[in-house]
Amino acid sequence: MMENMLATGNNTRSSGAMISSSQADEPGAMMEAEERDELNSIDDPIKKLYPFVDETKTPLPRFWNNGDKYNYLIVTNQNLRVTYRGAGKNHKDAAAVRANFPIPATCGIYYFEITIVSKGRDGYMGIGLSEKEVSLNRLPGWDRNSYGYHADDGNFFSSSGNGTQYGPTFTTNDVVGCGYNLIDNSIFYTKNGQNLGVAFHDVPSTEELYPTVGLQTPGEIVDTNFGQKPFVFNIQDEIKATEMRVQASIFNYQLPATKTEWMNKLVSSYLVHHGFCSTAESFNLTTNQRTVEDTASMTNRQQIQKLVLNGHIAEAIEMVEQIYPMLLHTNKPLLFMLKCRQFIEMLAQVTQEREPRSSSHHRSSPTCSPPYKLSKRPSPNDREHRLSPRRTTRSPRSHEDTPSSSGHISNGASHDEPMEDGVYTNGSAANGSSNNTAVKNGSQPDEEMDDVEDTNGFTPPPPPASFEKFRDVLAFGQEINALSKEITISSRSVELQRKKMNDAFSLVCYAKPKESPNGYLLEPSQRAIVAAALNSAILEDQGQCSRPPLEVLLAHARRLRDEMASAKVGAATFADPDRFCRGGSFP
Amino acid sequence: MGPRLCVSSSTSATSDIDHRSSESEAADLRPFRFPPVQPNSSSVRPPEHNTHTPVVRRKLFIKQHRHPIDQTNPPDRVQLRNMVIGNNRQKALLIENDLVARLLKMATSEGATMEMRREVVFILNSLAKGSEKELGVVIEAGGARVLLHLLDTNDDQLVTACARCLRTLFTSRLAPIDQLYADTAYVQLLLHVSHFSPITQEYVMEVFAHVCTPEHQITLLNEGIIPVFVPLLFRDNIKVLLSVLSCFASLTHDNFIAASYVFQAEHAGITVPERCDILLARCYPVAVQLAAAKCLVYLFRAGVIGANHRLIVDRAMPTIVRCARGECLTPSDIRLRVDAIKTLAYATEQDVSLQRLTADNNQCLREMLKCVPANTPISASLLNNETLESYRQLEPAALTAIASLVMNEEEIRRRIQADNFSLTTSVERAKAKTGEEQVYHLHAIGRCLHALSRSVEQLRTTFHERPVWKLLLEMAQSSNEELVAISSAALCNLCLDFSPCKREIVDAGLVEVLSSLVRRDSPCLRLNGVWGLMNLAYRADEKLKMTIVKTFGSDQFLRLLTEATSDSPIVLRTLGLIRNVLSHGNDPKAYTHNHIDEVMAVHGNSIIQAVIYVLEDEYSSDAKEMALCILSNIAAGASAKEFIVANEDILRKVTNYMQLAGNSSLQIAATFCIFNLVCKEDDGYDERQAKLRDFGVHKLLQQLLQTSDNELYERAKLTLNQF
Repeated sequence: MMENMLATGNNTRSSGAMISSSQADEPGAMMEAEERDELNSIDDPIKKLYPFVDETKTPLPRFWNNGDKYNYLIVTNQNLRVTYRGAGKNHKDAAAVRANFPIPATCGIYYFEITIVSKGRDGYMGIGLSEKEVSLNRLPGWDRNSYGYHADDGNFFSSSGNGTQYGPTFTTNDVVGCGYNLIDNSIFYTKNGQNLGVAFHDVPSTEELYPTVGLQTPGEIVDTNFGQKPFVFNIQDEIKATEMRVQASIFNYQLPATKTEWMNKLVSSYLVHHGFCSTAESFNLTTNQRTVEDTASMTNRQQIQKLVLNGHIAEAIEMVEQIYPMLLHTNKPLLFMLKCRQFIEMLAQVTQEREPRSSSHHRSSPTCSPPYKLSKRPSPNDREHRLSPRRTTRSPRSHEDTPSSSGHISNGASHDEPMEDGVYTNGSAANGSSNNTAVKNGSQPDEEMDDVEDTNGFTPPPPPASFEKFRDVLAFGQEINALSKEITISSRSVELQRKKMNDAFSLVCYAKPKESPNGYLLEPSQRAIVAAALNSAILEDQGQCSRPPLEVLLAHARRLRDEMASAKVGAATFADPDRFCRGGSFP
Repeated sequence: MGPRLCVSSSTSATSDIDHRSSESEAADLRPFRFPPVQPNSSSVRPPEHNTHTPVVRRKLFIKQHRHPIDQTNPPDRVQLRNMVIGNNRQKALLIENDLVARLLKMATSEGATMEMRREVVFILNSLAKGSEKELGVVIEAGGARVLLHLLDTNDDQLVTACARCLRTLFTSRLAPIDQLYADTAYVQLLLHVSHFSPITQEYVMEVFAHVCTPEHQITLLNEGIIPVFVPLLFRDNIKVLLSVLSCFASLTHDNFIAASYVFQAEHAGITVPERCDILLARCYPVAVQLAAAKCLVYLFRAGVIGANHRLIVDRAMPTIVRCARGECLTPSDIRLRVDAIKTLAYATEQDVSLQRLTADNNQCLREMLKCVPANTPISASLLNNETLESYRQLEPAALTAIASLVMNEEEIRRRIQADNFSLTTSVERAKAKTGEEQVYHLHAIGRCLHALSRSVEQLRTTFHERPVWKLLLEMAQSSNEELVAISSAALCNLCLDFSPCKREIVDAGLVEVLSSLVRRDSPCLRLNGVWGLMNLAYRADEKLKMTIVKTFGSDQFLRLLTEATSDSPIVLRTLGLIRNVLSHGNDPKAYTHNHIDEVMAVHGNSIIQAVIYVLEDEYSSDAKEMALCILSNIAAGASAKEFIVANEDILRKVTNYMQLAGNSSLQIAATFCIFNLVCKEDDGYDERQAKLRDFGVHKLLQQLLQTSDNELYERAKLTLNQF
């Protein structure tokens, strides 16, 4: 009830602003990417360099392979230092060593650095890459499928005994880096932190190359950094730049004009699906589309969703039964899911009352859409974003209050003078006006936030000793269990839900359930899954898609990227669809 | 006729179309300025909310404004504004009616309301955005001054309007920079309003970016520009960032004090260089990265950051090189690329270690060489006018960068040759250009040749095989002083003793060219001229020496010396020239003294005058030593000896220098002169010995034997032996 009051109180939003906030408001869209990030955040500096590499399939080179070297070489210091111990009379005494694994294509840009500890007698050293079967009695670059930058003359050798003039020579104490760009199949080198530029352009993408170093005269010693330590050269910058280039090329791709309509439909259906009604309407208005669903229905769905997201499951069920009386009767698994969630919410309430009130208030705050997303994006959008669900629960007519056109025009005017002319014909100096509205927009929600805090804090936590409450919870649990048994359909999702139910039941046993192994269930983010499922079910019930095509496409894109990765296409590394959803900005 | 005009003026409501086309139409229409009114003409579609057609409106309006404009009521001004906007024809018409002066008067009149002023500024801005003619009228009428005055108000909208209009004026080619600097109060006003609103800030900063030139560094510093600008570096507005960075670059250009201020300035605990470091991140637009790198380079060149500083070596230079290569830039960003190449040339002009690092960075040198194609042009049809202009600068900019990179290191120069670099076609392309573009291109070629001419190897190959010297000689006679300076510097190296093309150049008239430089006003040109002649006279044959002195004009010696400051390099080079002229020729064994006597017979007096002048005045001991050496050379002649022996003044000076304890090199030089005078091998030595003995020289020599300096001792002893 409280939320409803608050929600109707806020009518100032202009529809223009909603478009930006709504893009972010996609429940569950970013989940997969984040899980992946989490997996990769293990404290391994090498792995951090190449987050897209799946080491279970394609391990990264980490040290020199003692079993894959010519016998004139000695490998020490955790297999990172290479010393020449041969006769070193002529080029027939050259010796090379390869790393323990080839460079995975999913590295995007692979890089390692060699420090010349000593140039030995003549400093005939080669740093580069070679395939598995290339002879080790040679310096890298002399043979087919092998590439190397040589210390004595600064030349670059690619599959040939004759080098081409490339860079400066290098010697004792120099740090030489070798980079392999798997996006454009080029090799580059660095010397003491300075990029020397591309040495070779056309590495056949079929080759599986190993980091390789070759030495030829006595006393030559090199140390290697495969990423264990920070590099001298700023490779992160290079990776970032390549990533941006790949993204720019995707962003700048021009869809054929015929696709525009299709694209607009996609966007529109997405907005409708998630119930961003005024955004959907103004979007459809500007793109000349018909809204498939009427506003009232959209608003209802959103209100229901919001109830779920705020943890008011009982109210949500009540509302669903009012508006879609048959839905929960026919769709038992859905009801089961909702009840499970209701159980968790009840439990949370009870345990919260037992615990000190520290974390309670953000939990029950009615303003929350899933917090995991908020933390992801500490941008100015943030506030609007949080407020959006509340605002859209206004009466269906509300969007008429804010003339949707005004926002656009003043925005454009304040910026540039190609508008020089158009602006003034309106008879007002448009610059100031847009600012004013912006300020107004910003300040009002703030006051509301205060309201929220106040009304929220009014109930002092009841005294502990709420065994009675627990009894209610347990009784409700039994009810759910009964419901669970009623469901005869056996599907994977039902099984999962049963497991979840059991997990939820187990929470009762813990004094601090939040810290228990199943404590994640208490996270408000779990509500999003329920809300999404309910929303889809309602839509399906109404004969619409249960999943917006845009989300299907996103999932499709993710899958394609994985396919590219397993097909060893380096370009997949930076073509990350989730990265696009997040957008880019300055640090 | 009527309908035609009606149709065209009914387009006035539409937005600005192509300026040039509407301008030419405007010229067509001028004779029909006041056509008969045809409100009911079928081709006119009346605007929906107005009973008048546009033609009628315009005509009425102009009529009204035969009277003082101040009496117009607001609707008229709105009409005028709407009429002017986007319609160059209307602008041209109104300008002819002396509208600008009246508008300006109206805006400054005391009774004017804020609204009135705003409207006026809107109209001015529209006019200024017309053709260059309208813009010129607004500027000449003192538009900038009036607008700057109007900034002194609390009315936000007026300030914004003024700032926008000022931006239009100052970013144009006719920017009235003097009007701004006429009164420092204007600068203060601009600084003051830069905080009014984000949009005003953007406009004001763009104005500053255009008026902040190295000539006005001091003024702007005194007005406290730095503390106002530093916080702006922390805005996320790209235009503001670019403007501030460009201002800082101009402010610090070759100005150590300004650079120190900028270097230390900070905001929220972050200094300007640290902020630049952040702005160099790849997530910022390339233009911002480049501007930040440029700012750091200017700090470095002004002397507040070392050449080996991390920010220069690891941050700024790689960014500049990337931009110079055209990485991450679309073809239309060619302006940025050219800017990057110019910055690269400036950054590496002097520091050897930076030259070495940069030449290697990202194949920079090779990439620059690629900009100077061996055969002529790439089709540029896809580029628009502005980018085409930048595109034409690409090659000369790259040449200056190459010149900087190879300036000091022989090893880097050698790489140029390996890459088969030829300037021949570039010269052709330069000559096909005209005006400033040609000068810039030729200057770039000159710099490149100058840098290459520092290499013995290049002198023997490039310059010998390909007669590029012809171009240099031609440039040295151009009317552009910069071209003359750079080409003569290169010629100086080409006429060194070991240069194989020396002979050919001399035959082509080098002596005349260099001699004429000495008569120029610029100290730089004089220096190059006299330096070149000095090189030329070194071990030259007697004939050439005579030609040099004759062409040069011996009266020039004293003039050069008196007109140069005593520490100027011109002094040493002039004396060096005299010395080389009077010294023996190529083969020491076969030399004769004839040319000394010959030269002295003709030019003796002026040479002696010059020598005395140096010996008497406060010159460095290097100069004095050189003067004494000249005397020794004179004393090596036969008849020339008389110039010294007969001149007691000189003898006294020489003997004085012999006694100058503590400066043995001067003592040696003086003693050498005495030796040549008393040498037994020359005729008439006994007379001279007698004279010098009378003069106390013998005693002086004996005193010198007490010296601890070996060389002086030997020299004194050798001389004494002649007696």
